[in-house]
Amino acid sequence: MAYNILIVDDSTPMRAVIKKIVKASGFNVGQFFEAINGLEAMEVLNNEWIDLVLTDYNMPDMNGLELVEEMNKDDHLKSIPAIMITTEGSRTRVEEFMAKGVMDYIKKPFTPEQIKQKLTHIMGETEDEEQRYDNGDEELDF
Amino acid sequence: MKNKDMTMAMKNSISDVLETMFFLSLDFSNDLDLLGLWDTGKDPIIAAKLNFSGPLSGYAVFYIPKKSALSITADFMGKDEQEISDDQIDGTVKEIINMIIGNTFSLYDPEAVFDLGVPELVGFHDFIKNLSDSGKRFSVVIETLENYLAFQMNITNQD
Repeated sequence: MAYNILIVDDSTPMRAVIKKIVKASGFNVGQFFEAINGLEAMEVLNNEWIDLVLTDYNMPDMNGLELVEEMNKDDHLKSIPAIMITTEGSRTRVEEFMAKGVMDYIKKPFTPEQIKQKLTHIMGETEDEEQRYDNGDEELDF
Repeated sequence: MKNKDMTMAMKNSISDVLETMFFLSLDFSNDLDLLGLWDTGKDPIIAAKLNFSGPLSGYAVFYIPKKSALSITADFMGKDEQEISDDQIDGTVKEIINMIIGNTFSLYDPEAVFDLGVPELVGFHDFIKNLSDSGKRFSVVIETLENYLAFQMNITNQD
């Protein structure tokens, strides 16, 4: 199955890097969509089929948590897993993320392996996982 | 606030961010005079500022020569330097300060909640004059193989 992934971050370089890491992780990605904040993300979510949201927290206009809260108001959108990729590391803040419907979080700075682990946990093993390991291609690079 | 703990958190955070995500080999110096070696006429300095509030309030500024910023942006994005735009450089520098300051506070006090502003570019000359490492001002020179970078955090209020 190919997953459509929405990457929400106000930083162009960070969106590009996350996209590159997800591709390198071997996930079967149908299409990447991008948004620069929660407002743009909601537009994408209302017009496209999205299977997973990777969102930054600290963005202008609508932050990542507000985005998840908006998604939770919609019967369809609330079923889409959202992972917060954030510099926020305080336990209190992370508990708030989880309480408000964020499925998991990745703390910046991150390694490609950390992203891969979270995606595997959320979406399940990739179809070509076995084949990649057979090729000895276990290392991920930026 | 324990100044020693904050300095340690700041340096560890800078190492985490610049080494983990940007593969920079770095060292620290408290000799702020090293920044006098910057040739700002040939290589302008990009300065990104981030305000924060919470148990501590204030702002942080990250300084990096443009050539170094171009180099790490290209590496970060996996592109050639010729393909990198000024917007991408600015975005990378803003992302760096965002990560450094968020990570600094997580290391300093994992229980505390800080609100971070949105990073902005500021005039280098407006802030570099405040660079000092005393009282509630924390400043450090970051030595990379190619150049000197600097990071400054000014605490203006403490709850």
